[in-house]
Amino acid sequence: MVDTIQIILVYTFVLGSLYLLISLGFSIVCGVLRVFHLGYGVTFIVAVYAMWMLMKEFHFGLVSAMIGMFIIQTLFTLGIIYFPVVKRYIEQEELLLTSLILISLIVEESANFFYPVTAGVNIPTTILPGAMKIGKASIPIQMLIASAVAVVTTAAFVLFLLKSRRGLVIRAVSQDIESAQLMGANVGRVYALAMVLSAIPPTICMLVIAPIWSIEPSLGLPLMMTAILVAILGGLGNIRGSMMASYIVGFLSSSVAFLFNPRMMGLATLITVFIVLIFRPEGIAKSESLW
Amino acid sequence: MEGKMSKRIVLLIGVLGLAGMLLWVGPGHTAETIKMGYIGNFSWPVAADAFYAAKLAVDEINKAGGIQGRQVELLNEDSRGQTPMATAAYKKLVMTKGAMMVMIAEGSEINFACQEAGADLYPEFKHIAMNTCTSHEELGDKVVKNYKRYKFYFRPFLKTTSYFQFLKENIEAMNYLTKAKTMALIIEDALWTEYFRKGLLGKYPPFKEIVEGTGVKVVYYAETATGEKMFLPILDAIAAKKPDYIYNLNAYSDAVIFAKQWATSGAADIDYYNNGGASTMPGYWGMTGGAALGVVCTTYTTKAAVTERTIPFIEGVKARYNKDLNWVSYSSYDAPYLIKTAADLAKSTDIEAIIKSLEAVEMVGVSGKAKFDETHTYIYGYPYQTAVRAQFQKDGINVVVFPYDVAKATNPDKTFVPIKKLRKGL
Repeated sequence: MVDTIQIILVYTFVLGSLYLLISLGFSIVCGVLRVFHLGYGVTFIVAVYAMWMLMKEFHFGLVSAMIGMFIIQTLFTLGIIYFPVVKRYIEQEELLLTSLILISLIVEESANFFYPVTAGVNIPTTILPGAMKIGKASIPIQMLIASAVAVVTTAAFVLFLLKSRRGLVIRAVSQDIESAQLMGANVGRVYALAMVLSAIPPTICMLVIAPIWSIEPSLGLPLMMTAILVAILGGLGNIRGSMMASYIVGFLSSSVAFLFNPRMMGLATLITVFIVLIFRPEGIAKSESLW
Repeated sequence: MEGKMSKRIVLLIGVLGLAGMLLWVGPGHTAETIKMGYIGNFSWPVAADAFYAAKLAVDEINKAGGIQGRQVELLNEDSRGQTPMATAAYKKLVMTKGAMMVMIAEGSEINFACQEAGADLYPEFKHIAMNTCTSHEELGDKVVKNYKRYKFYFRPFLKTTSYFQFLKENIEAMNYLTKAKTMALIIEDALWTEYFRKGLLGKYPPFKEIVEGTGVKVVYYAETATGEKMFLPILDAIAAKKPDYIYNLNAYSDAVIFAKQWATSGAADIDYYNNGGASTMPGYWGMTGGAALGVVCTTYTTKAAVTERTIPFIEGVKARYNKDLNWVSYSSYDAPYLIKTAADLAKSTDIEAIIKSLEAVEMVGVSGKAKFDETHTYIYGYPYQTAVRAQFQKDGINVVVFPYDVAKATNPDKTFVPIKKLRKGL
């Protein structure tokens, strides 16, 4: 039993960190723009397919493809998602959500047209192959790296939001938009910055998990669903809540997998989120703002 | 005079135009053409690939003079994997387009829906349905139970009971190749695996019991959701049990993620058989970024001559469409040929006559001799239908490992290599 508990704790950290990296960007958009970003899944797709396109069609090396992909991701976030859609329809929710879903579908279909699953899209970002024994658990080293990257990325975001002047402005907009405007915050610029920031964690996420994940045009939806579940459980738009929720979901998944039945991992999470929605619709976070 | 003249000219042009139209829609263009339909989710590589197989067969048949002297036209409909769309497409093909045969390259749910739609249509719109993709037992049982209603429905593919045979062969082959005493069994939780998980009343026990009946102990058993992306806890639990090999009975769940996570997990040195899904596709090696090293799976892209038709089929698709098709494609290639062979036997293109003829026909298929049993499903087991199993070795080369005689004929100098050795580069 001690062995099982130890394995569960290791997996809680590994899975929780992964869920955190997946959901961090979603929480930022929810927290700052107060938008339920149904186009969030597209960020994962753009990350891998833009990189693959640069490597395959333009023969970029791995590092230059990564840099190029980050530039494409930023341009896409601002030029396709933020300015034409989010900024224009931020007060018209139904148009906003429909447009975001449409963008996702268009990108997914395009990826499927140019690089269907049989094209063998593969992002070679393995840092270290093999597995590492941690007690009785044996975890892929790449997964441990992904977990570490998740923790560092989250810490960097939290530090930025808490310690930098720009972060202070973002939090101010997140807490009270009118007061922030009165104090001179340029809300449009904060929104644009938040959108760009929100694309960073999913992009990093795809880079580190690509060696252990399936690269297919439809990969965005399940990842977005994970982000939504974590965000709802944590409290929409609250990063502290998302952090707690990620590790709660990680604990739930690993407990169910090792104590009961791995088939029930997803179901257990869904039921938990549903119960939270019924009894505590604001989620486990106390604050409605970003932090 | 001029007025009368122009009236005559107008009348003449009108009559000629009408005659032209009649000729255009008449026997020379439409009535002589046999229409065949193909329904599939074209975003699903299995169905998208199989369409090329059907297209190749139709092209070859037309080149050879058609069916009973009539050319064949292939129509396709994208169902997007949605049952209402697939059923609507089926009705459209039969009622509006006049398709005499419709191939349904879809899963069990859509096949059940199309089977019912076809049965309702049949009295008024005689046609034949060919399920080229799914093995649910009940689809064939319905033909036996209510022949009059479902006689139009054929399956040039495996049914669950023949699939039991196919799977047992896989297990016996893995037992032999890995000298196994223990194994880990994973079954995806989907409609098509229902009988394998629970058993088929009066016919087969659950697959786990069949596996143990072959002399190997199942030390780990799990069922997985088709949408599952995180297999590491399962692989970790398997690694702790140290089985001689892992068998993953899947078709819809993510075989790419599984291979990638297996290759980096604590179970990386345990031999692995992946039953279906992406591993039967030609791009599997690339999709996994080489993580498929050592994976044994069913394949049709390896040039292994199961029958005299296998290699011409593989080469024909490659030459004409520059494609390597997945193993399910063979049935979509066989289907138009079955209609041709049956029509030739009946010396008629009358649907009732073709159905009678199909029940008796025996031809050489891509994957073995092709003959239907009483459930209108392909008979499985050499010299009838079989499948080639191969292992991914260095640089993604597919080495045939089963059936043994096909393996010997295809790659006499190569054989199965345990994953431990492959990982060491041996």
